[in-house]
Amino acid sequence: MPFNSITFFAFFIIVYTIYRVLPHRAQNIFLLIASYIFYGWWDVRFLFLIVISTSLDFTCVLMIHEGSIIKKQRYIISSWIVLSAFFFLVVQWNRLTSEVIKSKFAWRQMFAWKTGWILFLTIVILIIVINLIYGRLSHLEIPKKRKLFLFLSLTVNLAILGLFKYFNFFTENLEVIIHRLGLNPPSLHLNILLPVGISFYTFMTMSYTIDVYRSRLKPTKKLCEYALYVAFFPKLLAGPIERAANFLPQIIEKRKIKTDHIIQGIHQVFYGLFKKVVIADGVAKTVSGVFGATYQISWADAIVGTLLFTFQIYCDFSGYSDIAIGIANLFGFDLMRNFNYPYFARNPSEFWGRWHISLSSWFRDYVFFPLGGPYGSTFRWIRNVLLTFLVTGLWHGAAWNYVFWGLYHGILLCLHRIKESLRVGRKRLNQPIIKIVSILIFFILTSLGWIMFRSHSINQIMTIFKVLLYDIGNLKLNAELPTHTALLGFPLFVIMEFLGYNSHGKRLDEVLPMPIWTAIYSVMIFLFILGLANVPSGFIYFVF
Amino acid sequence: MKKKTKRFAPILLICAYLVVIDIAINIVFPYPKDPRNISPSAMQHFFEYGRSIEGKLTRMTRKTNDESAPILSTGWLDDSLNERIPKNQDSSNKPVVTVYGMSHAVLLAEDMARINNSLIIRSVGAPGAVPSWSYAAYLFEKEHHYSDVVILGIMTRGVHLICTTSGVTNHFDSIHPYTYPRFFLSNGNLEYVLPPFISLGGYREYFYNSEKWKNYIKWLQEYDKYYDPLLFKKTILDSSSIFRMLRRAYAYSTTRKQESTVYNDIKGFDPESDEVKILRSIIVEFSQTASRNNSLPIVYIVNNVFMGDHLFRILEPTLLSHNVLFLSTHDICPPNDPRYYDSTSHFIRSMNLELAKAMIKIIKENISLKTLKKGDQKVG
Repeated sequence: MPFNSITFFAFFIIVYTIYRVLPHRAQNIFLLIASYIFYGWWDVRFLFLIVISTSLDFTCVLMIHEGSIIKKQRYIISSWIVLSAFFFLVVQWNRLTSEVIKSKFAWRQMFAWKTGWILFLTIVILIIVINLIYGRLSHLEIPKKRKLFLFLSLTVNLAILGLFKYFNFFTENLEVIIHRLGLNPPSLHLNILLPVGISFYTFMTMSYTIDVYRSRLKPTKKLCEYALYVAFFPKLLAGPIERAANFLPQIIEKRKIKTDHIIQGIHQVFYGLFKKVVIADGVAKTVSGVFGATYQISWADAIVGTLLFTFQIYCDFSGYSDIAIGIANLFGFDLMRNFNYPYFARNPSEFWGRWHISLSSWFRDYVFFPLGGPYGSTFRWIRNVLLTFLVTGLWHGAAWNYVFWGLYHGILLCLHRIKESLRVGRKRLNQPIIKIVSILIFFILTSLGWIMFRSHSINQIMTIFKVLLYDIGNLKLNAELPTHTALLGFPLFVIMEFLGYNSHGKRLDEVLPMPIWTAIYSVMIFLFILGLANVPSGFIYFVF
Repeated sequence: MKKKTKRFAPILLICAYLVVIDIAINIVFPYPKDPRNISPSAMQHFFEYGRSIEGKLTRMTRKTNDESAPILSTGWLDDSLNERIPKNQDSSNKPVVTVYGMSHAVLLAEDMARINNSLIIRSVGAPGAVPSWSYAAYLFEKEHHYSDVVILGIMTRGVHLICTTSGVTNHFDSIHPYTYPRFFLSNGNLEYVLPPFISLGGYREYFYNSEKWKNYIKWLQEYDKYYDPLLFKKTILDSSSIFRMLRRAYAYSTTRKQESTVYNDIKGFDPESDEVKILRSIIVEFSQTASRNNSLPIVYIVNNVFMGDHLFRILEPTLLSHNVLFLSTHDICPPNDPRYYDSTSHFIRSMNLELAKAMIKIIKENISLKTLKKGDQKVG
């Protein structure tokens, strides 16, 4: 159920209408159910992974913070897991058709998945065992217990993420190495789907456990509140990777939806949809044509494909974030800002403070600083930066092109820091012309990085760079041009970005007189209507 | 009261601006009123695409052909098919080759005629013709006109439209009023239902008679898989460029939805879909009917740009098991290489010539000796 679909529009209207008439506690329960329906629309079975991740971290955090869990809570968690296993693994919702409803005997088909029953029984046994050994665990020494549950939470979360996202990548590379040694191992490839949003919610649950372990956060004792923090639908599939310190209090406290929330929400949703539908979807075909080409592309193809992908990925991902933040605003929540005009960055350090802020700050707090941060010898901080960016690259996908993209940004950041430490040209940095040149240079560097990100293989990366270097001046464009709508919408997008950057992210109605900002919105609405004819493409970050 | 007005002021202003934009577009990019004007600008076309089907028909239809849009007279499966030149074998007794299908097929025929004068090449085509049209054209014409070789042109983009019955429902952006039978399978046999009219005269008769037109709409509702009242019926909203664009977006979305039940970019065609089953049947029937009629049947498979060789792959088993001759374009023009295609998605000239050569080679290799003699021994 993507945000730019009629189905989501109908879902939102129903959920929002009911939400507005419910009292606070019921709102939380209702939002949790709505979020699970939203996720289950894609694949119900993977809802169980969210339930497992939620229950595990909720339990571990209580054990870390309180040292014990009262009987009632234990029963609630246990029955929550067992019921979820039954409803999400045993019941085959995809077989629920009108024929099944009509025919009495066809109901059996919905419970016919053998693996589902095996998994269910395993989980029931596991729950019984955990409850039986609970007494022993709760009597462990406090420091030991804290470490044990932190370890358990991180290990299980990373194991689930590793199995679904990285297993095939590592085994395939291992097989290549073994093949080179002259051996012929059996293929370990698993035919598994990557659950949408797994990297996002896993990072949220991990940050919660680590923050409580570090005593930076007081945990919630209500499972429903924590489950909503993990699964709140606007941010579930592609972030922002919200921190519990910011989001949990908003769930716990009674929310008041102010007019400003609604105005901000509508603005964010609308600008996000404009970026996605008009720009990102409008250039998608051209980009796919260049990066999916089975022929020798020209210099013009490479330049156009690279530049358009630079805007596509920004409009696609920041568009998603804007819609997510906007919808959350309408429900009375304030999510963290995820993008802050990143293509106006003058250097890599500024770029990562503006691009996918929730992820870059996560890696800064939970990887870079624990490694030693920017302190210590030059070698140490270079190592820390490169390691952090290597992991950042891998987070995006289990493929070498993402690793290279991460390392590329790591190297850029190291070079920038070395330049900073040498204080080269610092005095002139604020001169407007230097500022513009810096923005342009870094924009080109960022665009080159996107080639690695978008390519399918190392060979393709090499080919595109070769074309860029050796085919200069070949202006024959083979790729399809972007849609009329994208071409018409692009100037408005640039104006919006300039206005936003210069006003430090203020809304149009806060910086422009009403006749002007309403005129801009009218043109945007018009272009959005034109853009509805574009072929809708899935959000790029759904696969990460 | 004042506060409330202030709150709604921006909404009212946005609405007013949208009305201004709407009117401005109608003034700046007016679609030519004269249906004979065939060269409106790209922007005039762009803002016209979303007009309802009835709106478009009203715009292009007049009482006489001279006053109407030229596109109105194309593609009809009526007696005009038999008036095509050459009507029958000429005195030279050269073998006659007839190509049935869409523009790709017509272009192939033109290039075949250009590079080989030992054959008489005819083409019977319609813009955007779907396989049902091509096969129906062959069936209707064969009674009046014998060809030594008959070529059936089909393309990837046409397969999901097999269950349509008219050029008005199968290409929303630029419609063609011609009609064709609706094919379906009944107990494994290929059968068809004729639309209420199959000639331009018949169309005018129905179009200018509201009762008959209603009956035609009822027929479409029953037999045309792509008929949609929201796209078909003319309303006052046709005057608004914004509503036209909304309708166009809706048309795209419904077409994509329909197409996805038959074809997927990665997996290709669904072999279990009605459309694929009907297409396979059409090919088998075409081959058997032509052979019975002493003609050499060949299928021309056009794999459209960026659609891979899915069409060839889904038809290959049928073609091989029934020994049907074919030429699939993917061997000569890889469908995922846009350099082989021009801006209108047709093959570039040099490639079209290659395809024409390949087709002539197939004909030469397979045409019977009897026909060869008739062809003054020139073929080969």
